[in-house]
Amino acid sequence: MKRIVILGGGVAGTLTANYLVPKIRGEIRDGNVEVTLITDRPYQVYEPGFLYLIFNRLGEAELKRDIRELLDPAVNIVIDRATKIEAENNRVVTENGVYDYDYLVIATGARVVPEEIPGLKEGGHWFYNFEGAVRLREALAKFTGGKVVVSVMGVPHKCPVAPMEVSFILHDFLKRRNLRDKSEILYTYPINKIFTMDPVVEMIQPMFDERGIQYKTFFNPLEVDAKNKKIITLEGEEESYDLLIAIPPHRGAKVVEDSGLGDKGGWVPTDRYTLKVEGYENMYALGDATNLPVSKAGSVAHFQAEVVAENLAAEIEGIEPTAMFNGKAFCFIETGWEEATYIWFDYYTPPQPVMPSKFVHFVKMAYNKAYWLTARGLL
Amino acid sequence: MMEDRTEKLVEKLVENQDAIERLIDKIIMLEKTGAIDTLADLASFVKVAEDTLSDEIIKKNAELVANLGLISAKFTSDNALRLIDAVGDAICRCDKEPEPVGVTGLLKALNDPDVKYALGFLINVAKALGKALRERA
Repeated sequence: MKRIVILGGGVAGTLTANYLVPKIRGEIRDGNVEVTLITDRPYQVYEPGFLYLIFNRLGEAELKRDIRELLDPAVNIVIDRATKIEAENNRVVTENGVYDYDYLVIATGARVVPEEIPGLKEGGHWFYNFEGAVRLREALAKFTGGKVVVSVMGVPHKCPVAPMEVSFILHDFLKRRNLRDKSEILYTYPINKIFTMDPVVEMIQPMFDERGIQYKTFFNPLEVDAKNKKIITLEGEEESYDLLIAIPPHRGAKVVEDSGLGDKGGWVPTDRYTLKVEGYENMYALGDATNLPVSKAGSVAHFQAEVVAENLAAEIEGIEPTAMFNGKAFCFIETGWEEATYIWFDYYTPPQPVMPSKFVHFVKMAYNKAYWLTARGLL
Repeated sequence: MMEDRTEKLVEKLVENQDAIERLIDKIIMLEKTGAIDTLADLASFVKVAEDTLSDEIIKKNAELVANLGLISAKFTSDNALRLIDAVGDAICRCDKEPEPVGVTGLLKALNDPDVKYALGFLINVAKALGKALRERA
């Protein structure tokens, strides 16, 4: 019997399982193949929803769904924390067991490490995990005016456009609460422009100007002085704030680092086309876990899952795997409380944002609820 | 001031000459075929939707679709389809008028190989249902 182990119950892991199982259902039914998904929690979190949770537009319960509702019933679900991938022995060790595999899919995602910026935990907020988002929601509800700094403190980070989105929505949020006149919004980015992609900069920067959202580039925070509410940067600047919304540094999963499979950021070295882990013929990696120069975004995991599932199914059937990932990403960009645009791009095509509209915003709002159909492999 | 604006407009037209020519060709084609009226109607429809819908309505409907979709994915898997198809056949073929059945009738029916087979299926479902319920408890 061939054993396929998928490590991770986020978008990448769930979608890989849901695309793979229907392709090899006969083999599973005949007992020739077993698909096991290991995840450390019994539910999945829709992380893009944090952007809405902080403004109280989506609640906690709306962002979680039982993993059993999302997975094909033919998948063995193991709720356990993986502690080590023993690549040489083809097995995954968890806190409560050991799982041998013939093929492994690493879909362990990314984690935020605010502790890497001294003072950030004490002096700042973020919305890149549940705890942080809930805390920021409280801070925003109590905010009565002042200087808000939205600061990207490390790349790569999940959902690259979210810092721009939070700035736009914050602008409208403060206006709706009659606080915009008493507030400043400052957006900071580590490189020499406000975003990595020029077509996006060309659209967004004038929109920042129109709304009076200030920005600073080449801004690389080293530490946060929580007591005096100041950010100190590598460039020698000091920036004061009343409310700091940070995008904390990210790293790959601990299990990847502890298994010696990651680079210095904990990202898994992965072939950009085949999605095989470099140096291993029976291991694939996808989603936020990889070291690929693509956005760490759910849509990327989605498009990659199609490739991994197709190639794994081919390997099981004894056919040469030929599917290749072309770098495709799709991102909505909320440009206010009720308007949005979107971009898509791949290895060969640069992004070209469309005019922001209410209609695109509605599509995004609908998707926030319909996302679970994507996880199930239906949308 | 006016000259400035005109100058900029001409500059823009020259810069985008190819795109404008293609656009004009498309507009002419739309007008000649009458499709432009349909487009205008469609735009009005989208505008009405934009003006009347709200985040809440969108969320509620999308949630309904998501829930139906997740459930329907299970009832349309190949295994479920085979079983539902068999149930459909059974209902269609069962043209006998029902008769009251007591304990004796039930015991007698249990000798029928088809009833035995169906009972086996129901027990399988009960077993899987029990497991699924326990997992969700």
